Amino acid sequence: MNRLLGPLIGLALYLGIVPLLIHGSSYWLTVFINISLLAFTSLGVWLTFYIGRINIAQGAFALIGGYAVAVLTTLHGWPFWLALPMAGLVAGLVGGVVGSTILRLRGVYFAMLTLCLTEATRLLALNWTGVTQGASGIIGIPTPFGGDSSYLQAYFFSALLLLAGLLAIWRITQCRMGRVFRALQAHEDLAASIGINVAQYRVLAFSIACAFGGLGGAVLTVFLQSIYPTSFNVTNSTDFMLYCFLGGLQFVLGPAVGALVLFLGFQLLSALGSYQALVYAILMVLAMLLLPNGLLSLRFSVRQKSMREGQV
Amino acid sequence: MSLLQVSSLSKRFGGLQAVDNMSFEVRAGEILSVIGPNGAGKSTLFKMIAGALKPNSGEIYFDSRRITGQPQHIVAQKGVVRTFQETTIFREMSALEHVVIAHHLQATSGAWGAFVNSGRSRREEEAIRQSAAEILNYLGLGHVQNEAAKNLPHGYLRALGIAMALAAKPKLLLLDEPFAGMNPEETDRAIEMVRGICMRGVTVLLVEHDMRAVMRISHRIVAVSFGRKIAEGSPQEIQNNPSVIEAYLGREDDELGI
Ligand SMILES: Nc1ncnc2c1ncn2[C@@H]1O[C@H](COP(=O)(O)OP(=O)(O)OP(=O)(O)O)[C@@H](O)[C@H]1O
Ligand SMILES: [Mg+2]
Repeated sequence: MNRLLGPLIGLALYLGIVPLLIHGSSYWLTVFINISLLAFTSLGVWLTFYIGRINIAQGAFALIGGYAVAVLTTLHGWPFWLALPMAGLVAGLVGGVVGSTILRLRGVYFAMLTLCLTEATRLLALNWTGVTQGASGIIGIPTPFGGDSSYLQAYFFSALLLLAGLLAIWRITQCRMGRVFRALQAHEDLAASIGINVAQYRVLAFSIACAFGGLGGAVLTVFLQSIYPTSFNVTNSTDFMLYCFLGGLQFVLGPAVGALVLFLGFQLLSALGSYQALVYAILMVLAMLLLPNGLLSLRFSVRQKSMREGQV
Repeated sequence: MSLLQVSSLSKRFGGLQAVDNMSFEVRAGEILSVIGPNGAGKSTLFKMIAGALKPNSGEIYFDSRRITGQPQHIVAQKGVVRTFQETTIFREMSALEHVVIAHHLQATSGAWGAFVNSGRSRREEEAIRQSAAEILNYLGLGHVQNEAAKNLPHGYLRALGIAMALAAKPKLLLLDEPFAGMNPEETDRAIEMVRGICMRGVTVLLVEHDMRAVMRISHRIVAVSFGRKIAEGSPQEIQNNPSVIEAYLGREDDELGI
């Protein structure tokens, strides 16, 4: 029960106190909508880490999800609530197909390929004009959030989506599937020797990861009501990965904390004007040097023993 | 009755013929040892049987079914499970978690049930934990079941490897140098352990350099050198076989530089 206390307080803060404080400011609501959706998207990257792979492709799958929802709602008249799961499904399926070939690689080779995948997807979006309308993008995407409280609606929707995502990933880590994923991260050959279908589970994890990317990208797209080939790019892919690193790879909450601190930090540094990016980068390097296991390791360092016993 | 049949199996690494046209069979219920000098191709042979390496030619039959070139998890499903020569573990995990994971093939409740933590999946989980704890107790690891594997001494890790393999409920267990790095006392205990496993109906094929142990434990022995089978027979026959003596003496000559 004690272990649940922290997350529950966080939850109450995020769903109760934060909107109470910022409900009047569309700027701050937008910041927190972004944080929720970026954190949600990063959960997929975190899951790829969980099977021992560095994933810099999440921008690509956010883009795929974004275009899926844009095309379905804007050009084919689908309702958002139908188009959204479809966007996740499309991204997950594409991830499965791509993953079944590239997941054979590891380490820097896999990371490099995923980076290239982000760039390749941008080029595809640029040139597949029949579907994506190329560089001019798709604009005027209908939004399900309307009226005076549209930002607040989007805030709650994003926060609940993040919550659902956290819950799903946490359950994965607690059940048999998560155990298999941890085994893959630790030693694929040993896992195979006791009858685990390594290739199949790797693809499963990556598909789920990509579906998270697709869903996150789709909601971000609908919130912005437009999408271009550059809407999600290599920088975003890297950011998703950094959120995981900075938050902590051992914790399901890692990407959420990483996204919160990094995104919020960057906004707060805007007072520094042209030095914003520089100071941000220096702070990030310091954080990584001082806390190589992520921000959450600070809070949990006293409990390392119970962590090792498999409580994620 | 033969449980495993290996016929004309060959494996080449570049210019090196690691396993050369090897044929033999393992009878149900026996302990068969494969011996031979370093680099003779024993581990390569094991990896091919377990599906971790594809042979260049030849066939492997298990329970009269062809398993040649099939992937590891399929071969394991059919009942052939191997341990590793190099100590191989999931470093951060506890001993118990290792053996729980190794029950993978025994879990029959669906992935969705496990995800939503259904009653059926919880009961199965409990049964698996119990079985894992029993296996650890049986191999004398009960008192360290919650230790992270990376903190366990070498001898325990060898036993943990066997515990994992047993959890996969093999019909044929391949042990690659199970007694390596053990002192005589530990070896004695491990020998009793392997005998016990065989007694429970698991056929054992093992590779080992510790000749004293091999002679004590084996029902039959296959001797290999430079990838070829040079002899096969009872421990007595192998000890007195001239080509076996030559293979081992030849190696000693090399070491002496003669
Ligand atoms: N993946 C590989 N690539 C290239 N050569 C290999 C590979 N695996 C093994 N070899 C070579 O094949 C030969 C047989 O190796 P193997 O590991 O099967 O020998 P072994 O009988 O198990 O030896 P040891 O008793 O030292 O364990 C050796 O010369 C080894 O160097
Ligand atoms: Mg060997």
